[in-house]
This record gives sequence, structure tokens and C-alpha cells, in this order.
Amino acid sequence: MTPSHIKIALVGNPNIGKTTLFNKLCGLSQKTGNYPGVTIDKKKGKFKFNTSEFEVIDLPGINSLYAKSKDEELVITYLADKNKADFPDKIIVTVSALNLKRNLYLFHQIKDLEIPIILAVNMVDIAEKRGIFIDEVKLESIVRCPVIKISAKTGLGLDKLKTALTTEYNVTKSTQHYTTELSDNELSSLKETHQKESNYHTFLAITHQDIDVNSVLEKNNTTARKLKVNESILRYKYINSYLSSVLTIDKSKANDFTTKADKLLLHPFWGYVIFSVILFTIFQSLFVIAAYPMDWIDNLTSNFGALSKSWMPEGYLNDLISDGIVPGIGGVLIFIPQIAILFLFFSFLEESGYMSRIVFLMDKLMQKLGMSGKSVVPLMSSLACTIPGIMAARAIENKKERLITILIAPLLTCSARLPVYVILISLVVPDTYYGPFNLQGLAMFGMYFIGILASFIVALIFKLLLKGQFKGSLLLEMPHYLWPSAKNTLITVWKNVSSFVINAGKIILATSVILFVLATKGGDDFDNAHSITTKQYSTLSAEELNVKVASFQLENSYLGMIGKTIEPAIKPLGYDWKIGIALISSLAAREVFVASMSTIYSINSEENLTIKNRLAQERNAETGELTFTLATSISLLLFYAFSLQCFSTIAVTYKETKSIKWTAIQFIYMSVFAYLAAFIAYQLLA
Amino acid sequence: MNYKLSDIKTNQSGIISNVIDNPLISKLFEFGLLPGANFKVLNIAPFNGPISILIEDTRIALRRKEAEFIIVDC
Repeated sequence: MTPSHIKIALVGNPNIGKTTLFNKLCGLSQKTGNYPGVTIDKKKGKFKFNTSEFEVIDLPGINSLYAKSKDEELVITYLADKNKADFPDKIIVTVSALNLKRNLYLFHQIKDLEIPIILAVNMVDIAEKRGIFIDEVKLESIVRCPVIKISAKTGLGLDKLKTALTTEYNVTKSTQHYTTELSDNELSSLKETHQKESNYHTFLAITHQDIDVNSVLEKNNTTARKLKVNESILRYKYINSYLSSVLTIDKSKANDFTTKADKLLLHPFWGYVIFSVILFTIFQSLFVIAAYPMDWIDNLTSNFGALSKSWMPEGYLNDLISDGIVPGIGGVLIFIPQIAILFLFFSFLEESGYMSRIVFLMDKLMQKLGMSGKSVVPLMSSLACTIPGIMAARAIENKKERLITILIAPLLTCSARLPVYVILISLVVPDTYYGPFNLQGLAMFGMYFIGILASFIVALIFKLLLKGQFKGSLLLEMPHYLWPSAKNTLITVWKNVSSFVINAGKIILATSVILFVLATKGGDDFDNAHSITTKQYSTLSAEELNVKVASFQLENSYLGMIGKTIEPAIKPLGYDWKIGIALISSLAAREVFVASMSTIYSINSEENLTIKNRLAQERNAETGELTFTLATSISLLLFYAFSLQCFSTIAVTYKETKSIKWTAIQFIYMSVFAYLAAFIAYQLLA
Repeated sequence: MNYKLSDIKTNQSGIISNVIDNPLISKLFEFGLLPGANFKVLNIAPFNGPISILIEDTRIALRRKEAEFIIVDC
């Protein structure tokens, strides 16, 4: 009988193409949790094969069933409890043919949990080209579970894998190869007393010191730690005992590209030069290449606003759509090019195997800052979005290193800041070239640099303030360099862009509507705006009068009142009440700033201009001076560089640290930092 | 001759002869850094940074502090 709905989980070491397999199986029908990013909580997807429907969970890559990091803990807890509702019917343990021995270690651990598993040997195509051949029939007879050779990249063997998933098979208990100190009888009786699911579950509970079995340990003259160490030795001994019978290596075909490439990419000097060039290329592309589609989107939005304004019958609804919702949506869409480019690069770096090299290159420097080389990946992810960055910090084993990484992550320039930077930079920096460099691109690089510098300084401060519980360690595998699959990369980009648009879009759209309503409703003065201004400016022409009425209305709307209330606090930073409104509205998400500015300034303007032109023309109603002077723009840039205007970050910091104290410290230090930096900049420049 | 892995220069190879007991020992073993394993030092990061070694067919990066626990024969 074939069950119609089968839950499967993908487990495996990091860097073995597990995500490629997941993408190949599920295509675009996957949910990515709530946020975009490289590392995601629990990724779920679906696919159909014959009459069966499959639900797939892609778990983070782990090295063994001994939890060292939060990521590993998550997987181990998930696999430990068979009675949980979402426990998988089958587990696919993916191993890489290029790295069979080490990957089989984890496979055997999972096999001993006595749950139905399938061993998928990935990358067999690349392995065979390099002279590595695996006898899967022989391997199957040894490990006694289905063994399937696949290539997740080309799709080779996937139908076989799917067929194996629909086939029932009995879990066979094999001879254990993890302890010589404890006898099977002892483990079995402990299993009964502590109600564990298998002998190996019992063994894990002993070595994790979850159950107290001192008398048994003493009797056998051993400790939990000795058991663990001995397990590794025994398991490798066992794997070595059969490996040569399933694995043939033709040395003449061996390709040592990775070692050669590492000679250059990990070179004490050139390695860093190349890394800097890669970073610089990413930033230049973000500005120069993304600028074209961004312009199209900006123009499209303003044209669309004009179109909807003239097509629909006049009235409040028309205004709400043309001046509130359309610019609001435009503020979301304008993100797409930059996010897509950023994730394209990240996905490429991750899949090619270069990310691990960055960890290697940066470890010493990061240690000086109280972090680990492993902090670089979360921090680089934070350049796309802080949320996945903070979540990726789970891979860091040491608590202090992890906390510092989380605390400073929001200082790095996330993509939500980009639209704010783009607009402000385009107002004050000329769009010319200095040699091969675009000046605006350089200014953008400068903003990234400021974020990185600030994060380093703050990290140093936290390093000195925090007492380290124990020394951190670094142990990581450096995968073979592989050419990333285009399809896989595109799926990653698509997933991240779409989930960003949906999540940020909801906030931005809601804020735009609320802003519009608040800006177009007000007290008595607002309702009587026409008669008040007519009395005051009786000599003006009808056209001039309309402008006065509109700005009087905005000032006396609910939104205007809020802006006026906070004006004294932000005046020293060079902001008027209109910018104040945008600041408040972007408290939940900083990307709202551009949409808010666009909504606020389109309310009292007759033409449908692009956002940039609107801001460039904006003048102070009293003094007649340009609102966005150099001093104000720089002050705003710095404010946005340092302030924590993102509810999602606050939520995820709390979720990851489980500490109100550290969540509050992060918000407060960043707010104070932002205000002071903006204040000093404005006072010096104005 | 016995050396610490942390003292080995780039491109030198040998066999791990012993791992001194330390809090990370089980983690080192899991990564295949076991007595009897063949290794080759591939890259060393500047300023006493981490070391990248080839152990059997796997490339592993580790810090100097960890490498000091590993006694090698070469």
C-alpha cells in the first residue's frame, strides 16, 4: 500500500548540496518561513510523485548529533522525539560522494536512531569525473537501508529516490559500533527504565548528561566524555573497515583544483585583495547596475499614479489610490533590483564554497573583535537583511561571540536602508565619474564602510564589557569549489525577493494608507483651511492660493500635528516636521521612509513627479530654503545608518537571545548612537 | 619526530600520532582528526590565524589553539 501523504526530512552535513536537492525536489513550491536569507529556520516544501504527495522539511546542515551550536540543537531536538506530530515518516540522509567517509559518520549516528532512512549519495557525477566510484549495491548490503546515487544538480537518480520514498521497508537493527564500554544489555535495560526509543537514544541521553546514570558509568570505569570520544574512534574504525570495499579511487583522474585555487584565494596577501575586490564589485553593482531598473520602476510608478488619477472619478478614493497606495507600492517595488543582485551574489558565494574561505580569512580579525570567523557569514547576510543574519548567528558555538554578532548585526547596511541612501545620495552627490568610479557609487561604498566601522567599534566595546565564559573554537570543513547551478541560484533569488516583497510590502502598504488618511484628516482648522487661508492671503491668485491651502491643510492634519509635536526634538538634527513624520512612520521598518516621503510630498503637489525630483524641489514653507541641504541629508544618512528602525529585528533579537535585557540594550545603544551622530554632523555642517 | 600540528609549515604532511586530552577532543575526533589519520597542511592564515589542512580527503580549518593539542609525526 502506498500512503498518499508522506512527510520527509532532509538531513546532512553542511555543504553537501542538501539545499540543491531540496530545490530540485520542490521547485518553487516552498515556504521559507518568514524572512529571506541564506540560513532559514525550517524550510518546508511540497512535491508530487505518482499518486503520493510529499511534504519536505530541509533541516540546517549539522556535523554530528552532539549539539555544539543552536543550529545543531534544533535538528537534534527535532529528530529525538518520534511522537511529535510533525515527525517525518522518512529521513533522507544526504552525503557527498566527494566526502564519503566523514559524511557517513553522521549517517551512522542517524541510522542508529532506528527510524526509516534512505541514504542519498549526492554529487556522484562530479565524483566520477574525479575518479571516485561508489558501489551502492555493496554499500546497501553493509548499511542495510536503501542507498541511492544521485546528482541533485542534474536530477540524476531522483526518480529512484522518489520511488524509494514510496516503498515501505522495515527498519533493521544492526550491530552497534559506538560503544565498547557499555554492553547492549545494559543499554537496553537503561532504555526501558528511562523510556527511550532506542539504545542509541539512551546512549545520547547519557553522553548529553540528560539522564543520571553515574552508577552504571562508575561500574564500567568510564565517563560521559570518554564515551563520546570512544564513539568517534569506533565509528571511524567501522567506516574504515568497509570503506575500501565500496569506494574505488582512480588517482590518475584526481583533480586538485580546490587545492590550487586555495593557494591563491587563501593567500596571506592576495586572498585578502581578492576578497576586497569581490566586496567592492558587489557594492558597485548594487548601485550602478541596479540604478537602471530602479529608474524604470520609479518612472512607472509615477506614470501609473498619473494614469489612475485621470482615469478614475475624482474624489477621496481616487486620491487614496493615486497619492497613497500607488506611491506606497512603488516604494516596495523599487527594492527588487538591489535585493535580487545582493542575493544573486550571496547565493553564488555560498554555493561555490567561497563562504567558508571568508570564514578562514577573517577569523583572526574577528577574534580581535570578540567574534569568530563564523560571524562573517551572519554579518554579510546582514548586509542583505538583518533578520536572516541574526538567525544565521546560530552556527556560532561560543555564547559571547554569538551575542556580540547579534548585537552589532543591525549596524551593517541592510537592503532596507538602500532606498533611503539612494535617494539622499542622489540629492547631494553628483552623478559623475571620477576615473572608473561612479561618485554616487563611492558614496554608497562610504555608507557601507561607515556601517562596518561602527560595528567594529561597538564590537570592541562589547568585547571589553562582556566577560567570556570560555574560549571559543573554530572547526569547519572547507568544501570543494563547485560551479553553482543557475537554477538553484535563481530559485534562491526568487524566494528571497518574493518573501521580501510580501513581508515588507504588507508593512509599507499599511503604513502608506494610514499615513494618507492621517494626512488628509484633521481638526477644525483643517476643515476650515480654505476660508482661513483666503482671509489671510486675500491678494493671491487662485493658483497660489491653492498651494497655500494645501500646505496649511497638511500642517493642520493629524499627521502634521504629530510631526509638529516632535519637531523640537529633531530640529537640532536639521529635520523639519515633514521629515519627522517620515521618521516616525519608518519606526517599524526603515524602508517606509521613501514611501512616506513620497506620500507626504505628493499630497500637496499637483504634478506626479518622481520621488527624487519631489524631494529635490522641496522648500521650507517659511524660509523658502531647500529642505534637503547637504547638512540635513548627511545628518539623515547617519541617522538611518545607526538607528534600529525595524520591528522585525527587535523581534528576532528577542527570539534568538531570549533576553529582554539584550534586546533593550541593542535598541537603546543604537538610538542614542544615531541621534548623537546626526546631531554632531548637522551642527558641524550647517 | 613528534611535533605539534601548530608548528607544521605549509605543504608538509604526516600522520597524527596523538591528541592531547582537551575540552574539544570529541569534536576534533568527529571531524576525523584522529590518531592514525594522514594529513597535509594546505594554508596558514596570516598573523597566527587559522590553519587549513587536508585530512584524508577532507579539508578542515582549525585555529592554532586547537592545533596545539594535536601531536603529529612527520
